[in-house]
Amino acid sequence: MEFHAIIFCGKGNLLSPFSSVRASGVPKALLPIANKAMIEYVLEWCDQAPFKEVTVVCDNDDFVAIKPVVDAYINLKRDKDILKFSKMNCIGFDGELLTTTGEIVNSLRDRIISDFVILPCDFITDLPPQVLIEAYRNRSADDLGLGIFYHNSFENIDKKLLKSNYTIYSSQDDGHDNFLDLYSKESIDLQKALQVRTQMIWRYPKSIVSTKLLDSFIFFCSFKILSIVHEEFSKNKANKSCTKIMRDLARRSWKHSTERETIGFFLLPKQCAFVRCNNLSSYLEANRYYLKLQLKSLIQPSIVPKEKGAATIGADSKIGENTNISERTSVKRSVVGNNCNIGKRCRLTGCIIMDNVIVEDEVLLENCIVGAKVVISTKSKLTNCNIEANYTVLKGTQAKGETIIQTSLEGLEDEDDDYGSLYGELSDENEETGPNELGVSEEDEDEYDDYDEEEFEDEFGDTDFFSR
Amino acid sequence: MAPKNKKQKEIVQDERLQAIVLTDSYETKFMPLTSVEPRCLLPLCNVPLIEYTLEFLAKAGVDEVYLMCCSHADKVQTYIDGSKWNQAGSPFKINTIMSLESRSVGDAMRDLDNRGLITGDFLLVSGDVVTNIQFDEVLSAHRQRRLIDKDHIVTMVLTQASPLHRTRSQSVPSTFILDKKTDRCLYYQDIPSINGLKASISVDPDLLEDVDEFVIRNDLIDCHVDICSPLVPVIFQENFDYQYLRRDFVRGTLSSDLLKKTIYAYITNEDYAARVESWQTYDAISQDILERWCYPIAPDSNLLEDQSYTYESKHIYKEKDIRLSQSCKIGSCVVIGSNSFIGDASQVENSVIGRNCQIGTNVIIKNSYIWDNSIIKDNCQIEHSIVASNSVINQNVKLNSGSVIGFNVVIGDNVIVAENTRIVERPVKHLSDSSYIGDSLSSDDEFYQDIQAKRAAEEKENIVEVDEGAVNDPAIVGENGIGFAYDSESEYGDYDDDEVSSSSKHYHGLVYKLDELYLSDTSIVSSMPNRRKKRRTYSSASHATATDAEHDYNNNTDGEEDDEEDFNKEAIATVERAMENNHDLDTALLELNTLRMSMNVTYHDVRLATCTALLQRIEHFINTQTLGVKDSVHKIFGKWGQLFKRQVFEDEEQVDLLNILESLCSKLPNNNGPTIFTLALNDLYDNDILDEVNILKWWNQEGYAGKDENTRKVASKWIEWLAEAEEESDGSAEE
Repeated sequence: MEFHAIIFCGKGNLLSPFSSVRASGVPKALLPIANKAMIEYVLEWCDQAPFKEVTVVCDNDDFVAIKPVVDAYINLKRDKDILKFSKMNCIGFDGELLTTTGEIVNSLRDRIISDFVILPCDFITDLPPQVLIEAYRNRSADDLGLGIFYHNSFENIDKKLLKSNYTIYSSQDDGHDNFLDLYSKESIDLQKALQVRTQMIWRYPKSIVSTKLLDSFIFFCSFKILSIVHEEFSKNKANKSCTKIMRDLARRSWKHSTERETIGFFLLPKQCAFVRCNNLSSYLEANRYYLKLQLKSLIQPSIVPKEKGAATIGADSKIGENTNISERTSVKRSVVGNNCNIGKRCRLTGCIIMDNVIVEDEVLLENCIVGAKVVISTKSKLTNCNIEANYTVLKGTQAKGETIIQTSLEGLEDEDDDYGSLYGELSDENEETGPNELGVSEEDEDEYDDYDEEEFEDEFGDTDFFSR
Repeated sequence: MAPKNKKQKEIVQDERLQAIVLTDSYETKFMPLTSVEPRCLLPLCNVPLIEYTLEFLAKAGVDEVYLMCCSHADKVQTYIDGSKWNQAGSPFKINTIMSLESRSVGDAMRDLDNRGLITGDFLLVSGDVVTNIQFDEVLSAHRQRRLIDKDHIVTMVLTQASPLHRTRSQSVPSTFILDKKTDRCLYYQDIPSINGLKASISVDPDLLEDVDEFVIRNDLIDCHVDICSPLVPVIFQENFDYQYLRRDFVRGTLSSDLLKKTIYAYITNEDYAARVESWQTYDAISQDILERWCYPIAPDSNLLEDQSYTYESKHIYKEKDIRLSQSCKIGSCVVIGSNSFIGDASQVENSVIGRNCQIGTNVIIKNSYIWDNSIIKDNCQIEHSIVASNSVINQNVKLNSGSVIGFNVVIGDNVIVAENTRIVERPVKHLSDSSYIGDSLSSDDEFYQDIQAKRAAEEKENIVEVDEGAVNDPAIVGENGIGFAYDSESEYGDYDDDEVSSSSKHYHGLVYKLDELYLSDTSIVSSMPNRRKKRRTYSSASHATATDAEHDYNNNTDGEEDDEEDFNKEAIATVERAMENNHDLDTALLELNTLRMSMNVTYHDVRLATCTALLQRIEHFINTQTLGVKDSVHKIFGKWGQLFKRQVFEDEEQVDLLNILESLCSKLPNNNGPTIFTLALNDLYDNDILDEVNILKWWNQEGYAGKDENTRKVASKWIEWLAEAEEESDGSAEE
């Protein structure tokens, strides 16, 4: 395939406390989904294509952790046939210098010699890459690139956590859709108005605005974009994420008097599953999605004659290696990592238990995410809780909808947040998952802040629409 | 029991379908012809406009028709009384309502409400609709939606077209925001035409709540065929300031928090529906009819009883008893009325010729409309023009594009009529189409008497607003001609051509524009340079049209003409209001921002206005001796100086702000200026709006000569202090 895939590994700000925004966390790309690192799914997806070259890009801090995983994937899991014509590598960058994905792409421009695809490290889909590649190949001649958008197909994901925007696109009669503009909900709410430029309405008299579409952060870009982006970056030192760059390119297509290249718009078909695990709710759903797949793949549930009193492990659950589950414990719709020890008479429902966790006897866990090396003491009862790695839950703890994090542990990043109590008692989960970390953001937190009006006017100023 | 009641009510509604026809447009787009004839009786393809509307109503199965008449109401009534609609076989009962005092659609609706004629859902159309839509489908769609959505009060019929479609109104390109699934209308706005102002539609996100996907449509023809519930006149009554059906009523209803009523669109792309609302659409619709786009409405369907058109190939329609000389050439799309004669070697194409017309030899008529009883003598050339009834065009005349020759006008030999000239038999007082015959006008007539000499009173009596006793204008109509240029420019003074930026005006009344539009349909960009030039040339004429519009309309015009001045005024008022009522900063900023966007001005203007307002306030304090100089400056700039935080972004802008402030202060009376300036400077610096670097830059950059000396003197101390302070801080940083 003619593409160079670039996978951006973000920090996963909304996946706190499990992502590397906290000292105990791991980079988002390495969080396990059904006991396999997230990035491996993306790499596998790429190899379905396969792309001519795959580059995993991550912050230098995360590089140490991600590099071995990528290497292991290349050496152990990758099909030897693919190796011959598809390169795969992992590079780090200095997070202090390059703060946006756009800048990173710009800095990579010497490496990119063909059309390229920008991918996030956190998407899970059953859609083969060929669909998107075909969509890109069938783009209209004027399209510079193709933005991929999707509707959330998972009902159980907390809608409030999905970052939906006002996405404006236009459906052409010939079946080609054009991406026109994007506003974040926050900026609209702040401005109390959705501003639609008349230029756009004249150029695209039937533009559709959707408030439910989600940005996949998958962009197919033609080689030409690089030079435009480079020009843009050298002209004004705008720090823009890829999403913003695509948005600006989309705006560029209608705001000038002469026709410019357009940006294609592709909406993932409704029947495919697509989710970006960039918040805890969708992370949980992605895990369950794989469990369901596992359940479906079992044509006939193997009926093993059960010893009396043995642990019950549902066919919709996945247990890691070297994990011991004691008697009278039932595990349903859950993933249990490697080297865990689950005690007697426990009940785990809809949970994600990461590696090296010790769950003592008679623990009830429901819809919890349990970080690595956590110890949950006996008789605890936790519902909808997120427990940070290395934490020890005391005996008989009962909690609901809480995020339990470390407060005093060596090597913690300095935090401004006042988690005075043992539990970060934030009754409202949303609040918790909000951007309480002001770390360098990758794609997740990037706000599509509103037009810098000044700039926008200037741009219009010299290009009198339709008059030259 | 509620459901039962509802059912009963519905039965009542089903009993008869009422239609309200607004025969008047309450606009002036068809001046000067509408000074003589009501618009709805102007012929379109040799049939009075109103016939098309009534034909549509007959097909729609309407039981009762009420014609709301305003200007020339007596003529409309006479016409209707004598028409087939008033005879025994008429499919509906027709009534004319004299609503002589209406000045807008809103007035007519209020009048309607007062009369209490409406019994159920009714059809509201304007008297200029040409359509072949299947109305029963619309009605059933309306009723079905009503079952789902009880708050549904209006269904608007819209047809799909391209944004620059020739039948689309270019003067008021309207944008509808519709729910993608249900076609519920969420918002409506007129937008500037394609080469007009760059603007934006701003939609309150509250209106978009609960809507997943909506479409912004700029490609719909709004033919003003609406099905309304009886509530609509009531809403007009309650909101006595509503004038326009769309601009006021639709927008008002949609954005009202209290009303909670919904409006839906019915979009059709198969049927034909359009409104003859300007010369541009008059031309477009005529051609559409000839090309049979709105079949079964075509000349050969003979809407009038005495018509006898037959259809021939190439879209030629001929009535009985016409005489065509052998060597004349009839091109495609031509209608010729009975008893007309076309002489040797004359060419006619894409044109309509009325009854009893005499066309001489060697005449060329293209894309023009010759109404009944006109005489066109030899060797004339007529293109893209309208020649109204009973006029005479003498030999060798050339009518250039966009000419409108009024009723009974005589054009002398060898005259060349310039483009877009409109000629009337007698000077016309500038009034809207809706002008009514009333005494109140006579006083205005004096206006003319200064300019015009008296003339014998042998003129017909029934002429409206005509000032009798004027001399013909030989420059326009030739030596032996009769007529005047219809031109209101002289009365309204000179207008700067460049300022007439609203192209909404520039479409009015210019048949000529059409071709431009056709062109642009295919290649928007390439035709633009052309149009811009044209605009310059004709803006005076087009402007004139706009100025005689109603008062409301005028306000718009002014706004576009001198945005900046207006902005200044408005913005100053906004800031003053904010200070007086102690608004919070965000509100004030939001208001300013909205203003800035709507008027399309730069931040420089915003800063200027803000500074002016703040200084005025300070001055006020000082003058009324409420506060001392220092206190008042501190009070105002301390709090309201924050406004600049969102007005000043770049370094250069800080310098700009300083320049503005300095120049404004230097103009202040009582020699307070320099002090105020320095104090303000201090406050702005304290609030981090100005950086010391930029202040110093400003200070050093400008030549001493360019500044007010006093200001400089007073400020220099402060600047010195600043420079020192900076050095100090630099120094300490180094340590």
